[in-house]
Amino acid sequence: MVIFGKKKKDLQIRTRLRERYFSFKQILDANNEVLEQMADMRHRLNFDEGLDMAYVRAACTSTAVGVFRIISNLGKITDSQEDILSQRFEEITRRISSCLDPKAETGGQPLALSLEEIDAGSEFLVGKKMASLADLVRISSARVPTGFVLTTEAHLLFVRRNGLEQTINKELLRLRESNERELDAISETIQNMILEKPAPEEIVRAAEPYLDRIEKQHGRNTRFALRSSASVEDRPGQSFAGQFSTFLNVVREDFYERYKQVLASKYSPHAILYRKKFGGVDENIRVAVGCMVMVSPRAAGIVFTQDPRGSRDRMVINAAPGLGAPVSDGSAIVDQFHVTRSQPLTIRKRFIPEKKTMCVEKQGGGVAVVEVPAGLQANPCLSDAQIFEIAGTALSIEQYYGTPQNIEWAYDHEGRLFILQSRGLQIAENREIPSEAVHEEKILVRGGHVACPGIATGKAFVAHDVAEASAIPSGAVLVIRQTSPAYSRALLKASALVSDIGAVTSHLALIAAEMGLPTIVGMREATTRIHPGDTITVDAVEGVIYSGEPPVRPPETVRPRPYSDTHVSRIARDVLKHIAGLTLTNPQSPAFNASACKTYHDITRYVHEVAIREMFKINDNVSARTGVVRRLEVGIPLSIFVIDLTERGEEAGKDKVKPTDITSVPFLSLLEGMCTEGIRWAGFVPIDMKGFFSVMANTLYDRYQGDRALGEASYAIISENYVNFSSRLAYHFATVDSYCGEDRHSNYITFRFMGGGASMDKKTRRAQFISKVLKAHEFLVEQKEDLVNATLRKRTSKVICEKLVVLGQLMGATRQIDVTMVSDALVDRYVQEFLRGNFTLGIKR
Amino acid sequence: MGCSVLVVDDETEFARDLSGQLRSFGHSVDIAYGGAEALDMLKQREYDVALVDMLMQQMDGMQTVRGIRKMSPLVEVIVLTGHASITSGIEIMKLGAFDYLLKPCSIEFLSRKIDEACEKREMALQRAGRVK
Repeated sequence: MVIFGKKKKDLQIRTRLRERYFSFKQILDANNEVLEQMADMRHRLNFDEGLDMAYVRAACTSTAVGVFRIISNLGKITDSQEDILSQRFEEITRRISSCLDPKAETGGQPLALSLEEIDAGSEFLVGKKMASLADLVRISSARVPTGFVLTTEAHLLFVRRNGLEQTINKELLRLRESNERELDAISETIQNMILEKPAPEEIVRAAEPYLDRIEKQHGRNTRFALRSSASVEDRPGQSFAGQFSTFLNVVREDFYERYKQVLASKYSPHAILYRKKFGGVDENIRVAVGCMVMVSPRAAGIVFTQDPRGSRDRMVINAAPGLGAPVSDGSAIVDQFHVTRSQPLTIRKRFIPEKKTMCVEKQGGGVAVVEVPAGLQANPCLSDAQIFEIAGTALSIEQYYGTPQNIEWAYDHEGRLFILQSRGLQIAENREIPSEAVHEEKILVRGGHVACPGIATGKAFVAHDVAEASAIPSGAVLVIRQTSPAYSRALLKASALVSDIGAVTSHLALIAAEMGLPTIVGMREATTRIHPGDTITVDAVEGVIYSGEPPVRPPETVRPRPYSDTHVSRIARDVLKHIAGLTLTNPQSPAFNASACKTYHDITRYVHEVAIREMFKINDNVSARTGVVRRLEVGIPLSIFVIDLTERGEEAGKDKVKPTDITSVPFLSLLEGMCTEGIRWAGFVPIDMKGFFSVMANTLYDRYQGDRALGEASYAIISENYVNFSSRLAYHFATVDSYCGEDRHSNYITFRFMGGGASMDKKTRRAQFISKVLKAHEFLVEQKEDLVNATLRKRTSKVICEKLVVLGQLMGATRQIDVTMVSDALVDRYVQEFLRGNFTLGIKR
Repeated sequence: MGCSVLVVDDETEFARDLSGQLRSFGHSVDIAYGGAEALDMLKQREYDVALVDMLMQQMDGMQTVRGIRKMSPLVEVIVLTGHASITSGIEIMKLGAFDYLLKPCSIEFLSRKIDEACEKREMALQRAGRVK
């Protein structure tokens, strides 16, 4: 249907009003959505609830989109482009994006780099692990195996060239939607997708010259160790330990297959869950792979340059015969040596258990677990000289980095010490925790090694394998035979961890420590001495487990707050600065402007203010000639015309509307006030001659002539939850603008009153009267001469309605009273009368 | 308020499920199992709202939204995605999308957004002299 002529024009005016109101409502809604999102992020950050990277990313995105909506809708209300605001938005968004994706894009970077070619600027290409290994090359006392790195750029190329980005994202999305029920199946699907694809030609072309050179140097039968070095790996406070596969003793023929397996290990079930918990945006975690010449070790292990749990003057060396795997995965009991940090280095303690098995290289590639020759089982796997060499080298590495280190080392068969890896070590705070006396008979198990101090009580959940562990109820103590990173999934629910076998240096122990879970590993008999379902207390301070609850409630500080300094919480804190910080606090200040907006919160605050100011003026261009207005038939002698924005299309033939047809909640309240008994809209207020002349004189130079003449009709633009009422009665001007809906955060009333027919001192007294009444009703009021601006915000719809009734009463009661206000004393008298409910204010008319 | 909605998603099961739920909210719903199909369907008739998934195999959400905005600028577009990205969210909004929503989102919330988009379109039609 096409409409012609005036009707069409009228309809367009109405549509224009509707559009402005619609945009206004969009601003209010988006404003609420954004503020709720901010509050939710803060809450999750402060209470460590459900803060994973997917959440942070989603929260930032919906906040950004919400703020974008707010700005674009403001443009539709003001009819002007908010260029400055858009610029500010872009700047803030860029800052937030760079917090989320610190190195989102690379391109044209090398696919392979030798350790010597790596410099400080290439960490994002080779990952922290390989960057620090390259660093070690520069420390004269440390010998590092020859090698090169297939960079994160190679990973990116692999993914892009094989079109894996979208398919992987889709699977991860499916995972999120299935609420992790399909974790194992989805993990397998993604890993297979990666393994099925060939290594792109460019990667092979980049790697081959390095492989050739190494073979030339070390012989044709050189074996390689392939280690992951993710670009977000090993940030301070986040270990990512054991999240990606490492392949030892790789023959050249298997090189690319193993390379793909390292890439695929990014999607192992526990790696996926670990990221979900600790952060790391999938596409930003790029895996560089270090390809080092394999050191064939006689013994290998880990040294902590400072005991994370014990004396600060103590180093801890864990050592296993053969490959170092048992030390890091906790699969066997290993030697432990305590060495002083201060000179002269002294070996304080030796712990030499019987080592029944060891991990060795297989002839055709790969590794195998074999028995330790009977005569050697009880021998220490390091000589004192070697212990001192390890300790001395470790201290020089620590000195280089300036922080305690966790260093992987290996002795080859020629007795040469190699450093395979070094990373920062987290030292637990509150190490000296007093323990409580426990009756000896209650103690179930004693011994082992504390991997993370703390005390926790819960029902024992004894799991003999990973599958069993997956059923752990929330808050239970996980008791396992042997540590393995695969248990990290179950840790998410556990209150403490106990194992029969495993070292504090094992990946699982590191993960548990990172989560702040009281953990004791290597207790030997925990799974046999602890009965499933019993309530037990893990005292990972004294290294004991006893039945029942602790005799005294442990202090709150005993358990380190989990996740409080994880990668994800740091990102959340960073983005919140740009999102939720508020610098625009005072709307009255000249600094309250678009260009001063520094955060999303500033923008929302600014726009909200401007939008309300703009809506205040929505009434300006409306007149009785506009065909869409209808006269309100109401029992007071006022010409009120109504534009109802909720009406759809045209309702021809109707030019009147009854109060019973009105559905606008705030307008009905205002009308209720205006129609209150005792308010006299009709009738002439008696004035003396002087007052009369002053009225006449003032009309000649009234400051507030708008588009409509004074004393003309009043107009109400209304919607279910909205009213904008503008009246120009008897030489004054009053506007009420109010939104009143379910959400109190959107609700507000703004009121302005100005003008009058009398002299300025009398008009000012009336303004004082109005502002005192409104202050008594909790409005924020500004009054200057005859101008009153009042606001009331964020009240429930019930309160808003009550206050609108008051405003209706006030508008009626103040009509023409300015001419009577001959003395200051009248101000307070009128206020008292009004508040008492005497709306004639005691004036005889 | 019932709106005509075109669900654009190549996940057959999800698209059907979503359509069913939207119908129970009084909307009339058709499904396009991909961006190209959506553009074909929009050549046949206009819809009030196109509900577009971001991750689609053949023609992705961004291309699809671009195509819809070019071909039928008065059709309101709501993007629904499970893969939050500020960059793509803002890009979509700059293309003139009504909103960019993240999964999971409740069907009530989605339906309310569809109603709002519909109201916006109705006003745009009126402004253009076309009455719905």
